[in-house]
Amino acid sequence: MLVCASSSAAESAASALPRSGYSYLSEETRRLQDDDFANPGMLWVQKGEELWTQSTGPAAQSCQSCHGQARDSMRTVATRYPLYSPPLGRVINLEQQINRCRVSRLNSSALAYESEDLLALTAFISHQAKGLPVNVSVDGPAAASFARGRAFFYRRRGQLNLACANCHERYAGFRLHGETISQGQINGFPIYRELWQTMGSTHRMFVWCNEAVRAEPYPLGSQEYVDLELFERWRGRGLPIETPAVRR
Amino acid sequence: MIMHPMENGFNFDSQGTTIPVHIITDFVCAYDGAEVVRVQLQPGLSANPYFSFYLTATRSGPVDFKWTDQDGTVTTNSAQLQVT
Repeated sequence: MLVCASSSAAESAASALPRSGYSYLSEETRRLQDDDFANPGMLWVQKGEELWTQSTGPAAQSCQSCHGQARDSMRTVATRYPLYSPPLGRVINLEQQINRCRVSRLNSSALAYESEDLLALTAFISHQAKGLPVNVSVDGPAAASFARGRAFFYRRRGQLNLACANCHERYAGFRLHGETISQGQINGFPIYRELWQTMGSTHRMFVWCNEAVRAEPYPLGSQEYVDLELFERWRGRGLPIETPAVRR
Repeated sequence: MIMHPMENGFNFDSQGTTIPVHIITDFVCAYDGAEVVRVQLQPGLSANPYFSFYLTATRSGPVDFKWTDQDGTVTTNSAQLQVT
């Protein structure tokens, strides 16, 4: 009887509607995110806006040279990434697309993953899609990547032997010490994390989470994390983009 | 809000060495040439400090912000306040 009850609870947790990390925050932190003047993440958005128009490479071109006003051209972009790239033959995320553009179109250098500049550009572009629902494509050529991401999410790992799903699906909404466990949705990334006192990408969060269960993390920008990112976005499909979100 | 790490001198990097103190020590705001706010900052403040204060807008003029790092680096920013 007890087993039966717990398994049905697990099922209901798994089929629960996506819920943004925002709804688990304290009122004070929500207010910080909602006020564009107080939200520290806006510093990176502002920096990204400068980088958008800043010329780079031998041809002295900027993002704006090709894409024009980000307000229009980048309006829906963040809702679709990670996205399958036909020339590369694999799924890539927004950070990697920015770097691909910089290298192949601007003949400039790729920005280091998690560098201030890449975070700023990612935050700026994602911010254009604020309020729009996450809508990634997981069929066709992206299906294999999606399947790998799903497997990652449900595979136990680390010395604590925990899968992402153990906390963020089965026990979302429950307490862990002083914290409420969220669903682990990534609709607000890159986020300003109070713990880090700075901006962080999805992959930095994955590394942090992996280390928290004492597992060896994968490198930032690795295909494993891009696959997981794709699955995570699909899991939170329909949630509004919140970039730059503020989280604990 | 100022983008600044505000290192307090008590943190360690991945090699275990102390990260030196790196903070803003002074923040001054002047409205139309007259000083209206002056703040002295200490290492206890978190990164990216945010100041919020009231200012009675009586006339048009520049609002100048100036902050000084402990090593003497001065950063300035300005905005024009228009009273109609």
